[in-house]
Amino acid sequence: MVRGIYTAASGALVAQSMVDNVANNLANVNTSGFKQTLMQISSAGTLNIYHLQTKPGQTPNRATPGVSSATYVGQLGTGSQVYDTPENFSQGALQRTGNPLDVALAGPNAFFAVQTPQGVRYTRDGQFLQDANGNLTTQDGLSVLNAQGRPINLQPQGAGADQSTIAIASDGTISEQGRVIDRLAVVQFNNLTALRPQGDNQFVDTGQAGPAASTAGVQQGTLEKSNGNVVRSMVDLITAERWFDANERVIKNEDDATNLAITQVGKSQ
Amino acid sequence: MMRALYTAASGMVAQQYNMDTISNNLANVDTTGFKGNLAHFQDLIYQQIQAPGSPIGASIVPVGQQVGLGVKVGSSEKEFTQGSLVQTGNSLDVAVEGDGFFQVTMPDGTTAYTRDGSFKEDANGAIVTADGNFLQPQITIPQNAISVGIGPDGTVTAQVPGSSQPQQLGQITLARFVNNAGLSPVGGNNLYTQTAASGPPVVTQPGLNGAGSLQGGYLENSNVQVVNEIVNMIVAQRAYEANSKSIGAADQMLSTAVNMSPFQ
Repeated sequence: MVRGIYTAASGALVAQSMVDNVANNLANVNTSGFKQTLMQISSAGTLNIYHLQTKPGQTPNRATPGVSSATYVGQLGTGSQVYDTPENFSQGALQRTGNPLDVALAGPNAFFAVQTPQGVRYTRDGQFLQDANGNLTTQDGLSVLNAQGRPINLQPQGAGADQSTIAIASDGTISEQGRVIDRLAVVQFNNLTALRPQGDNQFVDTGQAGPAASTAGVQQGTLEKSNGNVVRSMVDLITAERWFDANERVIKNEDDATNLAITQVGKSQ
Repeated sequence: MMRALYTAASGMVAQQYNMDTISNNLANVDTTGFKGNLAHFQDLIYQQIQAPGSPIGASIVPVGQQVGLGVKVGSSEKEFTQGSLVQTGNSLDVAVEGDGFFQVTMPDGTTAYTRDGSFKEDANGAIVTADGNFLQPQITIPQNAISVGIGPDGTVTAQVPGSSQPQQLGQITLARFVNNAGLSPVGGNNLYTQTAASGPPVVTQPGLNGAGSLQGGYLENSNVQVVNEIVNMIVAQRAYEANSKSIGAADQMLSTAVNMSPFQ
């Protein structure tokens, strides 16, 4: 069939993926520590187009090219594709809550480390709690890790510390009335592209290098909101919708042309 | 159909829940001992379309392609920050300044916990909550008492005729939990019940072992900050609206796709 119809379809499909992606960014516009997913779009492969001329009496084919001359005409694109979907790790807005176990990271590349059954995961969502044993946990009950990679117990002497007396310094040191309890792990990654979102506000490290210690500041009583940008998302939505429409128009034109070719060309007068 | 429709729907449901939480906080802006809730959201799983490192033409995909599927409500944490203290002049009103809960004996014999110290005297002189449940440990005020006082350490005293010294009636104790946010507020009436997440109560004298001290003649107001709630409400409403635009765009695209067919 006509090449153009597939080319236009590839564009429409990318426009659809773009709306899927924007919808997720907007759905999480109020999710603590959420990082927007961007979308990089590239052209799909291009074809080199040649004008072939054959010798009289010979049929050109690939094995025995009876081609007398092949004149390069130019390139023909075959459409667009999603190249990759990197995370935008820029800093989100900070919201003051005053809750002593709410912490936010100031600095875009730093993360807290949490222990999950599948291994260590990284998060920017610092809405922490104490569980019944006094361990510092996420809202899911996962242990928040200290600089040595172990869970943090806020009650080393049993039910003692009042949460409101717990102070978390900007270097992550947790203390209660001047007595140091532990220190939060704050890590950073040199290759942020190795971090992939996996839901539950967690990122998984798929790289080899692993995390390094970070000097990003910890802010107590503060939560980091999503870094979603509603204006940008709205513009993306409009772009995707119009882009889809434009591709649809091309498909329709290709279809009309094919229709004409079938019904009009060679029609007996 | 398009993922975007379901993704945006999850966003709208989450913001509805957020709005429900904010409404309840605002409804309780003047409820004694009330603690505001903060809705907490988490992203849903990401669907992997292309794994990072897979070849694309001659190069290798550095990041990979995935699309998130929306949002869910992770939790609705009660924030046990101190509410402001309001002087009432009522001698049986008492506020906790710091951590700890009053213990209340429920009609079925179980113990519930509250920050609401607006106590009353029943027909027999026993100290009860506004609902008529006994304060624990039970304290009875003599019928002929002229005045009653509650000290910072929980000591309840009464001035009786014919005695120059106040008579000691008992001592109010406070229960503390490792994880206050794990208490269940399900029954309402400013009462909480213990759960596996909160841990067992540790009963202690006010002012000792990390427990707060008591302030007689004061009540603890709701810790809801109206300004914060209004800001949260604006954010929730706009987020809801933005998600509806995703649905609109996806719907428009589907409509375009359906109308593209020449067979009509």
